[in-house]
Amino acid sequence: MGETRIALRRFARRRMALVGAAFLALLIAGALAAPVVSPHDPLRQDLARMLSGPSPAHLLGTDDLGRDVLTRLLYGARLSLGAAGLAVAIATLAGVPIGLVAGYLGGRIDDALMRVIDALQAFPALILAMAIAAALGPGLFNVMVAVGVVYTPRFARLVRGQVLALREEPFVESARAAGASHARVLARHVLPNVMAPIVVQVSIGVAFALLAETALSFLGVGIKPPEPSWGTDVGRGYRFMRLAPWLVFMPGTAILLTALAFNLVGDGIRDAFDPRQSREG
Amino acid sequence: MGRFLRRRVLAVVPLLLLVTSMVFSLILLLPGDPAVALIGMEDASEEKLAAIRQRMGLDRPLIVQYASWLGRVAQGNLGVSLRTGQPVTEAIRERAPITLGLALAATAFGLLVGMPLAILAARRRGGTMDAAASGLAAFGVAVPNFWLGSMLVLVLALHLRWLPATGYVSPFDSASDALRHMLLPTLTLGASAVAEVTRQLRSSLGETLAADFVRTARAKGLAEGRVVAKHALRPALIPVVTVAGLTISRLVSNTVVVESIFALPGLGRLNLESVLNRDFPMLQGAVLVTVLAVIVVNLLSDLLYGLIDPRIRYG
Amino acid sequence: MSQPTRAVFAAACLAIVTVLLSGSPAAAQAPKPGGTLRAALRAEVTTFDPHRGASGSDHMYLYPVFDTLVRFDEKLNPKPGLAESWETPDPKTLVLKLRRGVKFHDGTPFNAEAVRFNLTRAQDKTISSMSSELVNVQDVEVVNESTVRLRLRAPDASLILAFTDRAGMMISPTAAQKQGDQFGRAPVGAGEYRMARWQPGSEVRLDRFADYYEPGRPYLDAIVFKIIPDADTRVSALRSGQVDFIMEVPAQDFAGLKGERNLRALEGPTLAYWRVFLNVAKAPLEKKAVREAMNLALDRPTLLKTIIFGLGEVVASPFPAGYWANNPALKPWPYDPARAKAKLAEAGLPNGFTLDMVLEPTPEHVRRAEAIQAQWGAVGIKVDLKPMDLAKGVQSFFRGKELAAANYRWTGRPDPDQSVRAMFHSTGFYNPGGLKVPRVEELMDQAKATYKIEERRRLYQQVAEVVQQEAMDIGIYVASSLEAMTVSVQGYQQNFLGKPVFRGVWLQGK
Repeated sequence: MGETRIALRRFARRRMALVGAAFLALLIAGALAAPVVSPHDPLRQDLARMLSGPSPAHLLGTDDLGRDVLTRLLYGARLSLGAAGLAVAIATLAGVPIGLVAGYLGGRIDDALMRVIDALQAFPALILAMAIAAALGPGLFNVMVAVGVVYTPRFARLVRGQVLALREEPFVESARAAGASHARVLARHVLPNVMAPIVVQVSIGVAFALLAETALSFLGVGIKPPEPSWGTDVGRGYRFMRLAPWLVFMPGTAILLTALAFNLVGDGIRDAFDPRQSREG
Repeated sequence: MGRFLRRRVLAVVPLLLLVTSMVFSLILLLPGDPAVALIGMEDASEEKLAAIRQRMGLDRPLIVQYASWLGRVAQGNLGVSLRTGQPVTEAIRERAPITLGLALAATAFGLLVGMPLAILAARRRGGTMDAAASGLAAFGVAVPNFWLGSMLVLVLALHLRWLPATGYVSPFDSASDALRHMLLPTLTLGASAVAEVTRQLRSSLGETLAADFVRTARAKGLAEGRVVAKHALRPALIPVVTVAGLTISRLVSNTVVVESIFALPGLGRLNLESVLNRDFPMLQGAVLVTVLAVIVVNLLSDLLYGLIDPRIRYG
Repeated sequence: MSQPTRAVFAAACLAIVTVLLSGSPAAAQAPKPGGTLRAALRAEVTTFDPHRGASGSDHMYLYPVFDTLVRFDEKLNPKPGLAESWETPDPKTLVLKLRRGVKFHDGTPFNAEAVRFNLTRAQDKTISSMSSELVNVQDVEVVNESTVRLRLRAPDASLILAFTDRAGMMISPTAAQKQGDQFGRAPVGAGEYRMARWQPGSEVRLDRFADYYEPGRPYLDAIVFKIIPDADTRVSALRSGQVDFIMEVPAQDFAGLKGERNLRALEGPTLAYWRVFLNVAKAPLEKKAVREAMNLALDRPTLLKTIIFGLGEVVASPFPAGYWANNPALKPWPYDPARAKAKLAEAGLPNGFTLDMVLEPTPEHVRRAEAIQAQWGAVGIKVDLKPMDLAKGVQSFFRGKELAAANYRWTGRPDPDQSVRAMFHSTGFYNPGGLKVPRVEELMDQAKATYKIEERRRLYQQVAEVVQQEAMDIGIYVASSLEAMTVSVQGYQQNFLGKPVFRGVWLQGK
């Protein structure tokens, strides 16, 4: 556990990662407080005032049906982050156990599992997501389940790779020699050492899921109107780019910055746990 | 080497079987009657629909359909489009090179820009160059590619008129025109490739640079440039091959948005349209080919990997 | 001739000549032959077989290749086509006098036998998707080379206009027999252009038919259709000079295109209008008061202004202004949310009700539906939007009859009978709940049975009145057909069908 503290300190020394973390903290706070903080109702249309630019009444302007952009950004954060989180949670919950089992047990089980993973990974991601979304029905959450399934192979491969390396480590062998069951070894010895890369991948995965939501909304999948989500709003704003560019820029920038922040934090965590850091060349 | 080769190639066979059944079961996933999809919002008698379904071979039980499809696939016959009647292999033959070309071009771009960035970043871990490169990489990964694409079109094609906004010209028809049409899509898709390459190479180059044998080279008094070029880069080739392979295979199955914006008649759009039209034979054929491309690229990079690093071959 | 008479005569001649010269719009510029027109279309053709195909987006591809028995002008009035004239010696007989000297692209002569072959094929239920349009044709008799007599089961005035569409498209019997199933990929018609190349997913090239029966026509050497599904990509393609013509310009881009110097943007009325299809079998839609409330709660002028930037017209009747079957005296529903709430209370639903509505999932459709959702929400009608792709939507709403409402566009039909029957007859496909209003059905049948245009017009105007009285329709607005092209494209005319027809088009300076 001392390692975590060391890692945290290293993390704090990287400026970009800190900035990213601060941004995310602010964002999540804003999203949680959206109902309290927002100036308007995200669904309230004011057709007479559609596509108007920033003004005192509407700090970030109004969208193509006269709804307040700032409010929709805040509420959209809830949905988009929540959905992205769900997608990554699914990918983690599915991928990590698969990776653990495959890497640890090896042999034929590993081969079989990896083949399924390979097949899944080879599938065109967006098409698979569309097919699953079509099967489950419309709705952002159904779509994110699809995205989660598509992203599972990354976790599985990552964890498997780590476990393969750890399997031969002396502490694992001695635990087995002491009579610990496979499950116990996995849970108490292997898993904690794999946490760092998993956390990194989670961070990157949320960014990926956010972008996936955007792409799918652009292609016309996964909208459950009139729920506000960043991806839907970007998809809608895209059509009005010439008339009202802020409609695309606002949620687009939100997605960009959030994805950026998650990536920077992820990079920071990876570097923080990287033992080579201490031997700065 | 021969045993390694055989093992890897053989491993592909059950993978293919698995993939084909997954591809085929897309029929199960996608609700909707292709006959209705074909007719659209027009009225059509039940007899006509039944006749269409019969012509499409959809009235047989699924297992039978799967078996006959598989049999035909083994012979290289992917069936005909439910919508236009065009043989699926013909459609794929026309459209696959576009997607493959795009993926290769974007990867090449990614390597061209990403490698120098990664080297610069790796030389000084934690420095400003590193932060900048890592920021750029994060940006490239984070930017929604249709946003980037439309920005590029807006500026370069519509305002400055330097490049065409849409369309595809085959390099066999006119090499210069083909290049002009491919530039914007390559840049759009390449942004994420640059990011991926930079990130992957930066960490592995960094590892190599910090490794013992590099320290030895430095201790021997070699100039920094030579250290990097001669000793760090060669073992770093492995991750380059890995990353190139990963990038190509990832891009090949992810070109649909770029193809939509730039009106490129590629495999990605074919997949998308087939889903929307419930054109199952076309969808199955197109997805199968996409997956095969990915598997082949992975296989090739695995083999290349084994060629470069002897440890892998015997490990 | 006496002096004054001669003067009058001369003046009259001068007047006539002046009128003739100024009356012709292209008098200043003579059409120039040559050039290739590049047009960007939204959807690909599904098949070039006019009988087999059913998609409404095929027509743009079909019109250049297949001439029809009857042609239509921009207002969709019937004009002579491959049939020079027609008459009804008695209500159950239709005689077509065919044009002579016409050849199909493969050299097969066009004659009465060919017409018989085509009409029989169009009636074949297992091939054709519009056999119902020809249901009243009992048999087709070849009187001589250029005369066909159709014996009808019942008087059917809709046939003439039906012959302006797929049912009247003439295909070469020789080619049809030779190609069989593959005809749709290698079509042979008698139209101005013949199929040269079809690259699925990318483009279709049609070359000029040198032996077309009208000398000097068509003007163009070729038409190339490029398939660009994304609207913004189409606009970019036009702006950057890659295509000469685009259809379905997004409303928000129209003003911008209109202002550009080397482009021309056209806006025109069409038969297609946006509406909410209802399944009255789903409660509480069977109550007239509920349907009236739904109509009263819609602020149509605002919807028109905001959703399509005013580029269209609010509907009052199932037909647009300027169309011969339109009822100009009918006024659109007023926007009266208070009365709407009162009607709901009258129907026993003072707190409103919940309604699920199907729509296509693209952002444009969602936007429109959300606006409707908000307006209905204000009077207590809670709309649950269900976006689904067209295949699933059609299956769920029209065939499966599982849902209550659908927000789609009615695309229009060549003959008014086809429209009103499909939407307002109790057996109509687009009336999944089977709403039955006997008076309307009576009027429809009468209008179909008479060949007199004036009488038909009167009857359809009455149909529109009853439709409004019974609140059978929730029509919203007609979205004008928006098209844009470079200034070099001449001779193009929009039509009420909203589907581009390139007859008479020529290119300036190419």
